[in-house]
Amino acid sequence: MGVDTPLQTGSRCVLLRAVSLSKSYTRGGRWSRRRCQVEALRSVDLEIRTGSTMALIGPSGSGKSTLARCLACFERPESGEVWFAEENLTQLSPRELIPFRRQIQLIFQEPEASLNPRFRAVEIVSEPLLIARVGSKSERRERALALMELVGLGGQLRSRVPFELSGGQRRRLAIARALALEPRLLILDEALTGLDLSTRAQIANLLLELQKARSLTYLFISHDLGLVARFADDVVMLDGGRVVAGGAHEPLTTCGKTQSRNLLARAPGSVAVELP
Amino acid sequence: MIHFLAHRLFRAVFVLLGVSILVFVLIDLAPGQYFQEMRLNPQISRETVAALQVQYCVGQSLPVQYWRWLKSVSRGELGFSLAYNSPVWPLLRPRIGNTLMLTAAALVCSWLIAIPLGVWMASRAGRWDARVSSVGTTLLLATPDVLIALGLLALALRTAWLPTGGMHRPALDSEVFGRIKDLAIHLLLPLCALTAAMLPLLVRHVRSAILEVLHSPFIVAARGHGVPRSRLLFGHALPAAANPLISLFGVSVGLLLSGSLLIEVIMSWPGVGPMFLQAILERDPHVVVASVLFSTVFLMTGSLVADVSLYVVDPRIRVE
Amino acid sequence: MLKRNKKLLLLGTSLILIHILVLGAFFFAPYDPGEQHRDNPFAPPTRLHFVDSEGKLHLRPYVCSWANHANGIGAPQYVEDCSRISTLRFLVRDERSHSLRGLGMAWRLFGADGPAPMYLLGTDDYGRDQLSRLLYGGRISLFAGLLATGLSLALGLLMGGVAGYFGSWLDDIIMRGAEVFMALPWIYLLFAVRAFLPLEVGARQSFFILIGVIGVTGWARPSRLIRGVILSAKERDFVHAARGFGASHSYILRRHLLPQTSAVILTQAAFLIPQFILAEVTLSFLGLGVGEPVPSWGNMLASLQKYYVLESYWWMFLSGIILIPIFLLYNAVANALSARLERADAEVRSSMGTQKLQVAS
Repeated sequence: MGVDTPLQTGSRCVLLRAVSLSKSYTRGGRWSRRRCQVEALRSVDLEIRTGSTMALIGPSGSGKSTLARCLACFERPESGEVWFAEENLTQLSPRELIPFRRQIQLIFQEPEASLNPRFRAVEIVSEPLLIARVGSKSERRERALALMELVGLGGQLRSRVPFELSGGQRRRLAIARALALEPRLLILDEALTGLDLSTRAQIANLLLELQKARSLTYLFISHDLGLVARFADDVVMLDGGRVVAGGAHEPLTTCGKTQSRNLLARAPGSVAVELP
Repeated sequence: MIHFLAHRLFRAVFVLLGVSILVFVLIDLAPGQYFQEMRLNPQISRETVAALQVQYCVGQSLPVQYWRWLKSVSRGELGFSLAYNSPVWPLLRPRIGNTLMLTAAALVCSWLIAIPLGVWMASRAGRWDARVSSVGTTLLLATPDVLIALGLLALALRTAWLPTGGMHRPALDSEVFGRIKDLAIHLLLPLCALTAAMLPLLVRHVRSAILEVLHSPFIVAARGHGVPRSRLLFGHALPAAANPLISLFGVSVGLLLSGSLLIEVIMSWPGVGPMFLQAILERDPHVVVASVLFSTVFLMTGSLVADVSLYVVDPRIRVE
Repeated sequence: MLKRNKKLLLLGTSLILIHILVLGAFFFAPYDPGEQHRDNPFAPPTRLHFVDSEGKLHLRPYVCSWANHANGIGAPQYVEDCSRISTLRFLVRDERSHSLRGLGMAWRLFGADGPAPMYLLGTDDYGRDQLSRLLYGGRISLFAGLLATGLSLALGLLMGGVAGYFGSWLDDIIMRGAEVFMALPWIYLLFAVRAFLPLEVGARQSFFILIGVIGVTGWARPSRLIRGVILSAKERDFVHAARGFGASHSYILRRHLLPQTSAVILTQAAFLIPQFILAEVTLSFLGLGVGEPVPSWGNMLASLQKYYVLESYWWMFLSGIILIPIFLLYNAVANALSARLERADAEVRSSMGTQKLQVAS
């Protein structure tokens, strides 16, 4: 990761590859008159290299979260393929998919909503272990506490419910949970949004440390271009469900739309990204 | 608007069909049969019973019976009553009229009392007189309808102010006015019982709806403009609280229909209630189905009126 | 905060005490419910005397017996005959009682020690003590309400859970069915379903039939509410997260979704129990519920359908009047619980932020 080495089209291996992903939604109920198709993704291609941080940017409604959910196997694309470590995920049945889903973890747009308000912190973190039937109850508890320590949550917080934690603490909890099954890819959907500057910096640093310590690969979705410019190795930009800049076959030297160009130009600290 | 109405009516027909099938199935599954009683009667020969059974197609399968019933409905007969030996509709029609008379009167009376009372209680919330009436309402709400009806009946018996049963005096009055007065006097007791049973729930809801609205900014602003109190309450607050109250109107129709059954039975008001009960006890299937359908139709009408009013009154609903 | 909890606690305890009272009718009631005193039909409540005719104070009150001066012609006319009295004693042995012997005990909380019978709440047309019947009858009425509510909520949970969780055509069918059930006024539905079952049944069977009928007719509204809870909970990210870890349907339903319904279920229970008690009373009153000789508050009220009873014997109203404090308690509990539910919802919403719908972003 580097601030002054913008793009490395090196020969590091590819962890996740998306090929021509398309997905559309139907809005409106089954009998509603206002039923229409919304094309969320249109033939999206993407390559994420192992150990790197890829940023996914774009205006609201461009399909970023949909893409994240497709890559994390929460939704099936209508057409196209998702390859993870030489395995075609889109061909697998839900049961066969389970071990792969554990290796790709999604940290949701609002971590607050992704934590069950009735669960205690240690239960939240140990839940993936429980579902995957890893270890005995005490072993799970120990691992959960260790994970909490790792993300900077002290042991005294173990019996707190999410309501009793601060915003930054909740994000850390979500991260701890995501790490429980030792994933290889973390998709962070706006994970730093809504935090104050100092907390944001802390969590960002935590993510950096974790990446180094555990050789994680990140797909970082954000509309904060400053952050993107600082942390990302690669950048992909979505607009209207299409990749308009970056990605596997379009390095950022060819920029499709003026809007995208303006966006990138306006970002603070975007000197690292060069445009024609 | 037409679209909305058409959609609702379409659904209503479906639901009615569903209800009729449900009740038909239930009645048919019921053990015991009208003719079992007859069979036990030694004076009627077995052949007669068998012949009657064939005549009324009692032994045939359920879909066949249902189809015959549907045909009878289309002819306007609504099936055939075994107990009365006549098509159902002529039996039910006067009864429906009587029940509607009682229910509609109770609907009007209870809402006419509930709205001013609820508004008054909301406007004077916290003061002793409103508190007392609140306690009274709670008490009345907790009193079962059976008890209210029996209590009023006991009062009428003791004081002999009001007749305690039926719809008319035995001697028929020749002039219209006298008949109407007689009817009104007989109606009064069941009307009071039904209104008293319905009232506390309505008052409660009106009160809480108005209370909620009274705290909203536009009311405070209107008060600041010097709008007089009664106009404020009835001209500004009440319309704003209209939505939940209109929905409540639809619900109250259903509750009144339920309440009226019990009251009619207790006070011998010749409505659908006593006939329905009798038909159940005697296992007269077509009468049971017809009574249930009548009550469903009127409940649905009440809901439809409420929905249409909501649609008309609240522009937000039209956008959905 | 604590004050509100205290109020709920108080209400809940009172209700529990009442239920204990009726469950322990074999101890608390002075007589068997079926014990007839044919020479004292419709006897008014016996008066407890603390001071006798000579002005002497008795610490143990006594009752005088009723002498019927009508001698079998027309309505009974009772006059107190204080030549035959009984004193009120606590913890009496009752050797004659069948039910006590069946339970292996012979004690009652209080009883009349002497020749005069003690009818604290009067008697009915068979001369059966109304106080005892009231206590025994409470078992039927109160517990019919409770059990029917349990059945109704269980059905509602099942239907609403399935409809909300699995969605699509299953949801459609179940909700249309609920619509049909809710399209009828409640009493008509109740009677129609009751009609489907045999009319001439023994007391125990009719009790369970009653519970079944009331419970089954009441599934629609709870199922709608539960479906709503499950629908909104199902879309929350913590469910998605669990699914991402490979959780099965049953795990998600069990650990994440069903606990969310607990508040709604509790509140619904508090609203439904009094309604269902009333349903039992109404059905038994009209002869469609529990029948003679088993007492239930409904069939005890049924004697009031005769005008002469209605007019003269006010104590027969008691089996209906007793419902008023019970309903007051239940209504208060229901109001408190639903206020709590609203407050909890508002708190969660304000602190955690509403979850945005994730259609496309």
